[in-house]
Amino acid sequence: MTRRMRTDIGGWLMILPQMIGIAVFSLIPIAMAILISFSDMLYVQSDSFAALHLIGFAHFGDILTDPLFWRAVLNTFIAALCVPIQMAFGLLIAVLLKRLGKRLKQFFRAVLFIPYVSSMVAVVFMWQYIFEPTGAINSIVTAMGGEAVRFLTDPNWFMPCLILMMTWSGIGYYIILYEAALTNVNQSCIEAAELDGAGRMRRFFSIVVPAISPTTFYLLVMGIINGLQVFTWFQIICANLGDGFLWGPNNTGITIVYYIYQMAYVNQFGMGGAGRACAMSVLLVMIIGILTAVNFLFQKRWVHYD
Amino acid sequence: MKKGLKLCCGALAFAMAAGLLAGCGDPLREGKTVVTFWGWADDEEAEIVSSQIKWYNENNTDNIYVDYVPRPGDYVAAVNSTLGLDNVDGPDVFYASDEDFKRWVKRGFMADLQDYVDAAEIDLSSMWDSAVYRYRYDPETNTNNPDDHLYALPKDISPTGLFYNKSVFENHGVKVISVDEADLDEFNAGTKADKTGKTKADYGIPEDFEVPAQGFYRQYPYRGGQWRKPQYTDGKVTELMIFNNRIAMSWDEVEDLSMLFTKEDAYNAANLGKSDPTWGYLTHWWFAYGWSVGGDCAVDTTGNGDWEFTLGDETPHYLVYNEDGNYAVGDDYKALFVTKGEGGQLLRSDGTEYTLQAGQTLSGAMPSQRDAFERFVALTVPTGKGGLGISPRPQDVGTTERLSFFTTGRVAMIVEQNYRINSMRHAIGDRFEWDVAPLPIYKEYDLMTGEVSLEGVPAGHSGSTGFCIWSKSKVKDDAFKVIEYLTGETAQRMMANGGYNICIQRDLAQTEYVQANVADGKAPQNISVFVEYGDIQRPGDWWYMPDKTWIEVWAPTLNSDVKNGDRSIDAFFSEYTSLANDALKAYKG
Repeated sequence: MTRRMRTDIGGWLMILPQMIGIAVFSLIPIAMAILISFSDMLYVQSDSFAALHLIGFAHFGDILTDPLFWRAVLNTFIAALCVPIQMAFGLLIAVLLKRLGKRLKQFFRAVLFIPYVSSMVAVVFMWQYIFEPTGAINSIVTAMGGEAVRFLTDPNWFMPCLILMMTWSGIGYYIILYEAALTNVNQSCIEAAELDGAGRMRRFFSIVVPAISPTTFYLLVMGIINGLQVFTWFQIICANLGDGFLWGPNNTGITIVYYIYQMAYVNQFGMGGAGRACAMSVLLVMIIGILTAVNFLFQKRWVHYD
Repeated sequence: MKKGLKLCCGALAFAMAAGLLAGCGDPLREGKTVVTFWGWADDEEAEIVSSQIKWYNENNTDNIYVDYVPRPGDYVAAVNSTLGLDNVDGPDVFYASDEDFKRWVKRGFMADLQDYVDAAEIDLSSMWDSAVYRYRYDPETNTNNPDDHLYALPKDISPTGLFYNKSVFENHGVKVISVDEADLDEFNAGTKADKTGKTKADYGIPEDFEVPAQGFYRQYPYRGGQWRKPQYTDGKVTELMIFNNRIAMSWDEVEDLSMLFTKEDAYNAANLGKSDPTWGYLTHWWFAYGWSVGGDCAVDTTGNGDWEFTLGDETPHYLVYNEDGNYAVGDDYKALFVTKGEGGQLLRSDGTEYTLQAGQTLSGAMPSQRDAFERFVALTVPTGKGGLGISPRPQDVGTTERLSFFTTGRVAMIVEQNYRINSMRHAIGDRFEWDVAPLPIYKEYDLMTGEVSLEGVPAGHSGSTGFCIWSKSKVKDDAFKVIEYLTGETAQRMMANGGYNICIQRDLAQTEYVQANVADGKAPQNISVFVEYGDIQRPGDWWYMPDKTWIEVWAPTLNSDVKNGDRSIDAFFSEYTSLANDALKAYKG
């Protein structure tokens, strides 16, 4: 055995545990999901694979003609609007924090990061209280003589409320990353621009924004990937809305992953079950893959690694 | 220092030894077949179940030890994720609510209990028929015919009733009596007191006034006409108003009474949080309305699982009466209603022709399901939008727990299930007096005689939990012995005396359960209303199919725009009827 081979084997042995983990917990489930997506399987359990019956692309055809699926796609993209909102406000707050003294900065950083690490269930209940007909906001509205607004059961208000909740909850993460990125911006470039007469806004948009563009790109890609898989917020809130609000008011609460979850685990018999849920998962992966590819394709135009 | 170290080591050794002892477990378990039993329970119910299990473990002669595992929070998720797998530790006996029952049978989680029940010669007639019936099922055809097999035996039943705020009634000048219809003549004659021990004179009812057999009587009733506010002089009402908690109100009567409590400016924010009621009545379910007149939201039109969405059906139904004057009951324990075909022939809901048997007669035409639905929707729709506005709209309720509207005094009456009684006792305390009454039913009165000329049937939904055996259990025979015990007299007596849920043995519920609950004068004193509903009430529409997809098609709009008054009933049905029918077809085959 040559030295090169010994080195290779050593390397393979070192990554073997990780490879096994990826195979068992990622590759095999992905392959199974693809297989199930071509079957009429209603639910996944021990005896399901013994009776696997393949039905070709039938689920994919059904999904593409299912109005609820397209509603879920629309809702998911609307919900994903919280990503650019978080990025914009995250950057703004990070810039403002940079101007504060050390103690004050640490205080606000902690305060802004707390929602990100808080229990999502607790956060949902808190917001639910705020938005209730007799909750905090409506108490103010009604005290001023207005009529209580049904924030979570009115289709016009439901999604804006959800976007607000998600933005509030996730913005801490964006602030921290942007703060770190701003620290690494080359100060000499800013000073040189200042000497050349560039104003504050010009310096920010022409030097700072390009300098932190790799961070922006990372946050955008990850934000879109996570945003398109939004689930927990909708699941908890719709469940709390009670009977008949499975999809939120007028279907405004259905997202792709929430729909998949309902199909695979809750309403298998009426919604098509595990087979259709897996087919929808495959479509979601394709949507995310295309958007990520587009992002990478266009990054050359606006992301600067220098 | 050394001494301290020794002490620490000693304490550690003792703690470890104690830990080892904990592994020894219950000595009763040794040498016995262990039957694992999963259930959900709050503290109060867990105490009752634990005492039932303790008794069995100490006294059974079947050489069985039951390992009771209460799973309060994650029960449904645990069953869904575990019972479909091989080689996992699952339960032998487990609970299934009627809501999850069909789904779990379809997924193969449950063993067919029919042979066990037949072999053990269990007397099913001693149990509530409506409870046993809901656990019969054919997963192939999605039917519940009397000859379909049992996949569970019922543990309990939890009917719905009308909870009312007695203090508010009395503050508004309504006299609250408790007289069965059969006792009314004696009560009127002043020779018999009502169930609370008070006579007609005690209530201040004029001697020459005959209290009629009505749930709610007032001198100037509203019957679809102009509602008249009672006159009060020096804080006392001058109009005679009587509420009888032993007789069901008609739809008109409950509306009339509710208007008495509903504030004219019910949606004024200034009313929020006040203890005086803002609204008269809160009912979330349309079942009592539609079922009372023979309607339903979905009907198996062939008896072979061909379901159709019928919430907006405009066909009037006719109730079949037997020779003895009681209404006839079908194989499904529902009152027997028929419709008239084009040729005048009588048709059952499954489309088969029905011939009246000797002595049977037909009622007059009942309001249609659509009529009943419209009456139900009108409760919440504001007056400015063509409704009555006597119930809080969905937008008023929002995500607030419905029960709290009653316990905080914001509605005077609420329809709720029996299992909420304990929550009510805790939440209301001594703040006001309350009790229960029968659910309203459809009634028409003869204007001349005041007698009932047309009457629907008492109807409403009840919840239930069943005992099942896991299809992969290795000790099914022993597991069934445990179920036999749990549904039998000894265990059910403990349940009845625990006073929590209504036990499944009819006789025990009618006697010991009622006695345990009314002891010490605690509310609700009229709890026998729930027991009387044991055989009458049926599972809600969430039980019809193996899951709720078909309900989710139309219910969100009903529970928001329609009940808020923002969408017309016509628009609702034109948009959702075909969608609901498509969803129902998905279950066939």
